[in-house]
Amino acid sequence: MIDRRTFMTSLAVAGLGLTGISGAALADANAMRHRALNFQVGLRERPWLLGWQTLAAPTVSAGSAEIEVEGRIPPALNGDFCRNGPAGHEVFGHRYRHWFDGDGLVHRFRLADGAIRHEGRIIDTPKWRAEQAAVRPLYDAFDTDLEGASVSSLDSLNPGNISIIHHAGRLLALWEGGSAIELDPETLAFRDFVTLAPEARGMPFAAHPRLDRDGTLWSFGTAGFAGKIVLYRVNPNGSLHGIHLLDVAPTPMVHDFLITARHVIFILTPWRYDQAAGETFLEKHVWQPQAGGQALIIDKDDPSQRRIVELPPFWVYHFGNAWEDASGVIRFDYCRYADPSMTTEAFRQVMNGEAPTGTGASYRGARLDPAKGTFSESTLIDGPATEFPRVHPGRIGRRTDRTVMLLADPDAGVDHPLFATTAMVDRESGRIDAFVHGPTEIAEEAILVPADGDETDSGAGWVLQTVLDYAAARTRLKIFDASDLSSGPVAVATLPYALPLGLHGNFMKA
Amino acid sequence: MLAAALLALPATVASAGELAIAVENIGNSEGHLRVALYREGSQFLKQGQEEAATFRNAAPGTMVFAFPDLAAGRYGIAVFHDANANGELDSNLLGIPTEGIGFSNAAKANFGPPTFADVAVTVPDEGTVTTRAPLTY
Repeated sequence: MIDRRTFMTSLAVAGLGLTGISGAALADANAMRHRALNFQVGLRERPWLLGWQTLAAPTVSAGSAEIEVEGRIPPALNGDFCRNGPAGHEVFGHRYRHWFDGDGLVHRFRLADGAIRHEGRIIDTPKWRAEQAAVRPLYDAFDTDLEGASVSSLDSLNPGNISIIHHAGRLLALWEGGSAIELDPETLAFRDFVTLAPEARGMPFAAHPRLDRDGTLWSFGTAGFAGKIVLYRVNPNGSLHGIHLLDVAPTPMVHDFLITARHVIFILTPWRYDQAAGETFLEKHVWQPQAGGQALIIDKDDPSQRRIVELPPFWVYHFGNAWEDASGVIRFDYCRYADPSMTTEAFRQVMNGEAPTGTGASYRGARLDPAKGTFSESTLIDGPATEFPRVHPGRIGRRTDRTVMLLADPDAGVDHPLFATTAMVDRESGRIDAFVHGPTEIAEEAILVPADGDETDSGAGWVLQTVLDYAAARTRLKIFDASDLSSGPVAVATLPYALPLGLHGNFMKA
Repeated sequence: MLAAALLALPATVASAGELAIAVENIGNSEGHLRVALYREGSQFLKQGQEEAATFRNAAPGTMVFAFPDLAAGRYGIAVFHDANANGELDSNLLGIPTEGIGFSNAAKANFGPPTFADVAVTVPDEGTVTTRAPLTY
């Protein structure tokens, strides 16, 4: 005989079995719902957290009639400015733990003869489609552990949310834990994961490939679980030239790398993968400053030729550029963090409605001598936090002196603690040409678009960037004369909506 | 002699059970679906340790496979979609499977295959037990 209580329990168990949610998964789901509430509470006190509000609808678009333009969009600036970044921060009310977890929003400003339109969509990856169908989160993310979720393949989790590039006629959204994603270049819809070779199917592909002078795309993927870094060389026509597996164990987090005319350079920081260290991918990385860092210098034409130069311990996301000088010394510029606290603290806090803490990066110019095995550097900007260094896109691996970047200067006089200044730094002359945005504008990555035909690092061309005005709840595209940022933008296009803060973008000339 | 012959027979056919598995979420009709049955006590997923194995041409959606005449006991099933019909579960240079895989009990891989305990289904003396194996690619 079944008593009522047993019957109720069976029903509950049967119900849970049907939806496949375990008790532990419910606890995780509750934590995610709670985080969504915390965020809304925090947003009232700290309106600049609007930059981390989840995108309400999976698509956005605005035509020229809806986009308010001040100034004049340069008629010679024709092409697509595409950007990407996590924007699906919540899955049906379940809020992720980290800025880098959510589904990617790819969006495009199309500039044609002075006119502008904007389209964007959350990438409809298999992961996104499965969660939409299930009406709940199903998969682990970079720093969100969903009890009971499975990882059958890296691409089953792939939100494609860090960067977007054009290569060999293809538009590619990039994560870094799985394959590159080919998008429909018009609709921005998901087409397929890119498989460069059958044996490379589903392997990690970085968000920061480096485009060589001849159109070769160099990229890599880190696989801490296997103790490997995968080096990819992709031909200018998009086919695979070769793959090399580099034994790097324990494997550090590596977000960006460098090429020169002769070398590929990985900066291996002491933030290392340890499978047993935690639940999420982020938690599995342990900061071990006592281990120091290393530069791994690889011969482009013979990747078995490798040199190692010992480095002090630091963390780096992004490099500007690298090149070899006449004496064979590798010069590069980068944004150096004392430790990864920005990633482990600040980017969780903003998701939970809190003010961010963590140590920002200083901007450095470095010299790496492979022959002598030495490293030295000078600090070029300290005090204001620096990030998103970008250079002339046609001069990767060759000398550049100009790098455009963002600064978070406590003395900038703005109403928020985030990036508020765009600066062009000329390391040769020491000149810094900077523009401080409005008091309620948060600056996003700025890119350099050289003037047509300009192969030199002259500074001629434009700087394009988006900003989020959280007070107006509007995202704006700003276009500057690259040789004169401090005079302010030559054009500002204001969208009729606000987008979550994104990460990386690129411009494809029409 | 007669006793030895009797002992060599599988558990009596009169009291045999059947294990049926619905392989779900088959992505396309390329190649084969390969299904391997392991009995408790054998080494799960180890080549040569299968109690039985079978394959059929793949069809999108769901396909049902049945293993009749099984002695009562605990069994586990592993399935993969051998899309290129080379008879092997292909993997990439990092060792991650690149073809669809699934397991009885709808058990899931999680940076490695599930354990026998995760996939085990008990087959009784008589009757058919059904289980599910949704493929993940």
